Amino acid sequence: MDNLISTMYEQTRNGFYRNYRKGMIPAETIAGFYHTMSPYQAAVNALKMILEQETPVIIEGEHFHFTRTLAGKAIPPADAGRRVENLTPDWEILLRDGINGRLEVIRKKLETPDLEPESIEFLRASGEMLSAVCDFAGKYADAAERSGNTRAAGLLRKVPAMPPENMHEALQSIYFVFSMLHLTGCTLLGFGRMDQYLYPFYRQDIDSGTLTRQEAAELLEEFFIMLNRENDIYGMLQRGDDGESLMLGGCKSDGSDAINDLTLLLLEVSEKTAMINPKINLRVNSSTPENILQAALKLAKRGLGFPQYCNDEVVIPALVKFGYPLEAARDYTVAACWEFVVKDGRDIPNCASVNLALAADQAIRSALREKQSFRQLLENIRCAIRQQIPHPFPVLLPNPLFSAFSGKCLERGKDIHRGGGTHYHYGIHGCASSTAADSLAAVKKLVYDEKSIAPETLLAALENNFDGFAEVQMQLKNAPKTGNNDPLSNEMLNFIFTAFADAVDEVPPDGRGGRIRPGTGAAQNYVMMTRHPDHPYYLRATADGRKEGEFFSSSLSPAPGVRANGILSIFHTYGKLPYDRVCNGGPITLELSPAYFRNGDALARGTRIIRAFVLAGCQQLQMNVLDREKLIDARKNPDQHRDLVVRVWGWSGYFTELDKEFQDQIIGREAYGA
Amino acid sequence: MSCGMVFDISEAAIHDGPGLRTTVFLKGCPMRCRWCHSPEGQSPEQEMLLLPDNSQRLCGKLFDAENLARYLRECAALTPDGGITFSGGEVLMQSGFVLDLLSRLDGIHITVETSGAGKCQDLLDIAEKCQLIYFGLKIIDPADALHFTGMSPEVILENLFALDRCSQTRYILRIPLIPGAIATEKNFKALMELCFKLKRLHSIEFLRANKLAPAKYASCRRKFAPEFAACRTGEVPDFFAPPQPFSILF
Repeated sequence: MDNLISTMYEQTRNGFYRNYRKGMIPAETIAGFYHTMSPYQAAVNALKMILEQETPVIIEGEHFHFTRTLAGKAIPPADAGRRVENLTPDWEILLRDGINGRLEVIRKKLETPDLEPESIEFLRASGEMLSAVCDFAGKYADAAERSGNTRAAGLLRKVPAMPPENMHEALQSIYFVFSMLHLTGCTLLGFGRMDQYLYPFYRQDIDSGTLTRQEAAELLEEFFIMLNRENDIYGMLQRGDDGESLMLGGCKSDGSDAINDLTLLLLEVSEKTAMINPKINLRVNSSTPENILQAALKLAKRGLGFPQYCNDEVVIPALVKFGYPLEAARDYTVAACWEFVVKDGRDIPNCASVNLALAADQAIRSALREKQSFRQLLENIRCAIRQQIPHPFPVLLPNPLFSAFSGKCLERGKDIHRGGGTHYHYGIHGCASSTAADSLAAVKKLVYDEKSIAPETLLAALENNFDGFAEVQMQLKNAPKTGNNDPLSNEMLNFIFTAFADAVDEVPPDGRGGRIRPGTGAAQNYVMMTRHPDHPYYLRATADGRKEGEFFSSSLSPAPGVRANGILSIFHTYGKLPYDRVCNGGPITLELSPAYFRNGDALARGTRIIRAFVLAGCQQLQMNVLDREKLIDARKNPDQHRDLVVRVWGWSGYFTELDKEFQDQIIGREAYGA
Repeated sequence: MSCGMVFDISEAAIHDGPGLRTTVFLKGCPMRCRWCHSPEGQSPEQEMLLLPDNSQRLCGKLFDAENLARYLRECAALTPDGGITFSGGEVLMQSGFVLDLLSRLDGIHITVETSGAGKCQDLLDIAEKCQLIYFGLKIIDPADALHFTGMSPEVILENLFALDRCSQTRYILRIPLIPGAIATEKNFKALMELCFKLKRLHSIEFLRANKLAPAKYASCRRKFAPEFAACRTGEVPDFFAPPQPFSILF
């Protein structure tokens, strides 16, 4: 088994499985379907066409089966509408019903009198897609039989058609349907709370003696490696930006502790596999056991850039305040990166991004020009943010296959994108918050309070990108900075997020109860908004002393070049944010020096950092190890650092596979705890 | 209210006492240990450091006790099984400031790192108000001590015995393993003899030599002239068997 796993690891890393890809998904044909027929029919026809062209691949020895033979994404054309992305199917529905059970729900629902024509079309489309997936699994089983692999044939005859009866079958069912969803054009899919829905199978296998804990670990390891097989296809902006998040820990819907032996085992397996997928998330609270936190920290020590920690004590009340039912909120997971998702709905948690520093900059410049008061300056910000919020909301494209594994879509006879869900909210990232707050703090202190910089001088300095204004730039750089728990910068940071939440509240609902959830994440925008002048929210020099072309920080973090007092001050700074109003997620991004883990009891001490994060009332945390020397060397000698992983924004990637500008931003981050 | 000169503060430190510590490094030290890894902590005055990239950094910040205590209380609130550590430089050089701070940090676990080079009463007063003392003992032979630390050890040893005799506070010896200076056969023998005379010594922690020390001297416009092999760390000899437990850290 160990030999199989190391071969699979090596072949995944060296791209061996790409040799199976003999053709390309015909993007034009898919676009043609969506341009000439109803979106339901288009989804059916596109999937059927792709599955006809896909060839089964059975690899001797492997326990999980599906390997792409067609390269390319199956994404529907953008002009047809917004596809399903950044969402996690309800995997427990698949495990409970199997595809046959879902087909049965459809059959019964179609017998309902007076169904609306669109419901009939949706249900039929969903049925056709589910049947196509079953038929395709049958083709895989035939191929397994032909190659004499009776074990694989038996497995593929059973799942995903029927409900699995052990952990191996459950994982194969999930892997197969996950792959099929990618073939319908879904992207950035998640695996949700695997330690919860997989636990009954694990428990039963262990109790019945059919699987040892070690064998379960090996199976999970193999499954984890499979999640890296096609990630060159699934990645969006960069390789690794492909979702595949997995949530562990936290509480159950009734509020009781959800941690079980699988929570620990999945952490252990992730450390052993040490690949970028799946991205581990851990829900924590004041009483999360020490052994779970230590197991989690081992992943950070290993340099994987995860887990990402979510503080249930902040997240759940915020989701409830936003309007989700308590039991559903307690069952939250994350989308691709950090966006909280609640089941039985179709939130678009990654709908758009606003540049908070741009809004602050516009307000600052106009106040300086018009000689307005600081109070007036602050009032201008809300309007400036409001202008960046997209309206109307995007048109949504049905996905009848995804809908079959989402809440009560089939039971309601409605697609996830056509009213099948119970909630339809929109997440918007709030980027560049530290640059925004630092700019406001500098202007308040130096222009308005101390009057040591004249308004026209600051305007000229900004216009000239500080060329000839070195003195002014130095004054601005020495002003209070976010991350130091300084009263003025804290006040500005809270103001900027409150203004964001206020601006969002002004947007009228979408008519289906959909509202906007503002968040604290930055996603790729720390590069796109600072280095790509064609970005609509590109921002030049800012009043915190930042020159044009210099980056923003990733999500919640002191601005690049700012070295904060330390980890505790950073937690105090971010623990004061109005998370009950900005609840879309977006983590504190904290880099630790590798020296931090050199000491023998570093893991035991490191758990105190996570506890301090919870105690400070922060919402979400990524804690990564940043070895700057190694990164610089990796740039020079990429071959020797092929497996070096870094946290990019809400995901981890292989450093040498990133574009240079993303590498640059990461190298420029501050590492704490040396 | 008193004021004090601080040259660094380290949040969430893991080497300076139980749990996570917020460590305050007080500026100024009467000793001139040749291996000192914080040469910027020796002078009690503010000074401009010259960094390797030729930029400059002002080292040393004056705090008033209440402002610093407020910040430290906030830090300590996040580290319930950790606390605050005062280090240096030499804490005893600013004992009035430290005592003022300690009176404002009730209920917080306090660790003090000292070389013992200061007034005996200051040490005992501070010991009264803290929970743990790391006593940074170095060289026992007077001539060797004078040569390597710039100070004869009599006062330090008197203070150590006073602490052993008059205080209730737990104390641990912390000894850097500097080859050729501290980690010598002669010094280990004297050290062991000393340990047998100490009644309340909790344990001994040896620290591996800090290999990064030389780089910092250039910043302070000083020469690093250790007269010992700064690139390696010393060993604890087999014969060293004091009555207290000992360990080697980091």
